[in-house]
Amino acid sequence: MGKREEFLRTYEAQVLDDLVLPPPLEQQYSLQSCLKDGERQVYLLRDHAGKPAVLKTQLTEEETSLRQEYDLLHRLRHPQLPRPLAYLEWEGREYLVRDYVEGISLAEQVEAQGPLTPSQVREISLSLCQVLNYLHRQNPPVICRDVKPQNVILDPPGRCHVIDLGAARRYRAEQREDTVLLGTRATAAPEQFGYQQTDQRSDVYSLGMLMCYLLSANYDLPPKRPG
Amino acid sequence: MLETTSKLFHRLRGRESGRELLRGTGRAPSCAQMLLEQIKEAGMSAAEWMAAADVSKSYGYQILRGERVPGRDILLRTALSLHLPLEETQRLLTMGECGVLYPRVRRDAAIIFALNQNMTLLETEELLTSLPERSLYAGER
Repeated sequence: MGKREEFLRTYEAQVLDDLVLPPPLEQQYSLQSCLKDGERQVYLLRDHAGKPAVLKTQLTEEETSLRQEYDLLHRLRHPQLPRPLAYLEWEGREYLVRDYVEGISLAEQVEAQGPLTPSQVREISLSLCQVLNYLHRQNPPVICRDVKPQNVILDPPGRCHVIDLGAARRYRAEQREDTVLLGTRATAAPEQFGYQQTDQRSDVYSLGMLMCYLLSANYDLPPKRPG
Repeated sequence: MLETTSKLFHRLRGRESGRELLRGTGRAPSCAQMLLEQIKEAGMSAAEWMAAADVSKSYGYQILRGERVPGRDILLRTALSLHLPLEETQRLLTMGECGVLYPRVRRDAAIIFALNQNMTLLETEELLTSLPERSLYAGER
């Protein structure tokens, strides 16, 4: 048996066999690999034609429901957002299947290459502005709330895709603060810590922190110059 | 060479600000130090390590001087080319402030498999390509 087969057999037995797909999904997809583990798990699937898809799954009692993310993705249509394919609840777990976006995350890009050039960061930022602009122009606006390197995929032609809207919410003018505090500490705007409701500016702040990270491979802001 | 406590105290008292001192004695030297130790234990020179792990000379020397922190994939290429055991590899990744290898994530699991099987860097790269998983050189080529 070659190394590849030996590895796959071990991996399947030790990792993939842990997850049992709901029957409707099992009929359509096979599990390929675990991409992320934790309270919310992410897997790579393939359908019978070999086309990849992504499965997110979690227990139904988690604070933020995958159903909300599915409904939101279902209402949105943009080439830089993944399409939702299916949503199920089965035996105490939620299952959300979405398009697989080919490419490398910005986090992986910086890990592999180190800081990016200003020109690269400019192109990435412009591409992200296109999808954020689309979200912010919805009625009511959709606030992403988790713009971070791990959630942005750079595809081979150089376009950025926002792959995780799990923290996104619709802006409500009458609301004073966010009902649920979500986001990632490094890139979150101050209001995401509960001081007031997040709005489009929160995503702009996070984009700025993302740019800082892409340029320097860390989140340390440069010191202010006098005058 | 680690500074003695008295030398550090002297520098803190001196004109050099504490912040600058911390910046200079931050994470990078620890990762560099561990790399140097591992290269030495493997009986390699710095140049041999750079060739084996496919790291450019200028970048390699910056890493070994502690001026730059290597990316995760460079540390993994190092571990594979030095034939480090898994435990040492995880320690190296931690010193480089990178995520350790996670056995449930398939790419990481394949690299763990390769380390445990004492596979070469080339064999590991072939395994990753065959799965397929992201190359250890993704983003660089």
